[in-house]
Amino acid sequence: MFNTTALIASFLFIIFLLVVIKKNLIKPSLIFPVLLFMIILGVVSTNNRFIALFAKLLGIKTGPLAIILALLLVILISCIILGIEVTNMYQRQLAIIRYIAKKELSENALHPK
Amino acid sequence: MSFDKILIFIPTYNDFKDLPEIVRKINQILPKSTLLIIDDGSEQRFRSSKISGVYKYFRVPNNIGIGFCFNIACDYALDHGFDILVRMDADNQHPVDQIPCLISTLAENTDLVIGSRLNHQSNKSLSQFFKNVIKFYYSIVTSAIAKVSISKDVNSGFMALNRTAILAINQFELDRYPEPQINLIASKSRLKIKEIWINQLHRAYGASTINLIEAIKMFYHFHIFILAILLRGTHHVQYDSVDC
Repeated sequence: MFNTTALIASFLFIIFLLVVIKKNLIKPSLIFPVLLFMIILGVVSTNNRFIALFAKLLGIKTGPLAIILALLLVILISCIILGIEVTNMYQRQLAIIRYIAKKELSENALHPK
Repeated sequence: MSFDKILIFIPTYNDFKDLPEIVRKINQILPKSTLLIIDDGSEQRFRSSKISGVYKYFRVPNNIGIGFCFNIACDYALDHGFDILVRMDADNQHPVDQIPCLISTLAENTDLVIGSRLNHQSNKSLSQFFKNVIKFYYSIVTSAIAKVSISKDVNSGFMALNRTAILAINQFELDRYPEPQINLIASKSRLKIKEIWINQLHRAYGASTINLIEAIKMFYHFHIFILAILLRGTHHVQYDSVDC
């Protein structure tokens, strides 16, 4: 059986995520799979049998601890993905400015014109 | 080795008051050189009408840092076949009349010449004491990593580079205050480095952009860069001549 409160919380989180995507505030391909995985993990972890099975699979005696560790791993992965994407964006920005500088300096005459 | 084409690069951020005087001096002392002014996204408006000399100008859309401006200058020097790149500040603290000395030292089978500031340590204030300690630390760390002795003033922005040094340094994205990085890259790339002693002039206007926060950031970035350079390494570059 699933916990109703957890299901409502997950549902609200999905709605929030969809609104963020609709408002074009997030690049869906970037973080969406990770967030989706977090929601699924949140929903299934309200089931005691899943927690026990998951803990057994990881070899951890305390069930909830296994879920927390899995969640921390997902958060860590999403941080790394974001870090890579921010670095890419920054490098692209610098590359564009360098390209503009090359073009502008080659085309412009010496001052004073 | 003869150097026909010299590019003098001046990065500036909200520091235009001394530029007319610097441009006038450069045009007088090195009339055949090309002067490149890169405005690092200043909030103040650059007024070209106040400068009577001949120069090239580019404005970076937002403030990114001297290192990025240095990369742009390196791109320009490499693309247009310059033999030498001289870098100096826009605050008129670097002596323009010492540029020929930098260049003549570069001709002595050298890749990078640093103008070390002879009178930079004369100030007895506490902040100057910390600056000197950090400068000494940068120098020691860089020497230890590169296993060669380097310039005693690794924070000096007054320098001249030949094409080999430009190529080696332009492989990296330089930080906001890139001088310790440049020393590290040059020494790790086994470039021949020399230093000449200069007397830094007094600043007539404004203040240095390196405050305590910027100094801490610079310190942090320097160590991150050490980690990066140790992981990635440097590529040994060969001097190549460009026909233009």
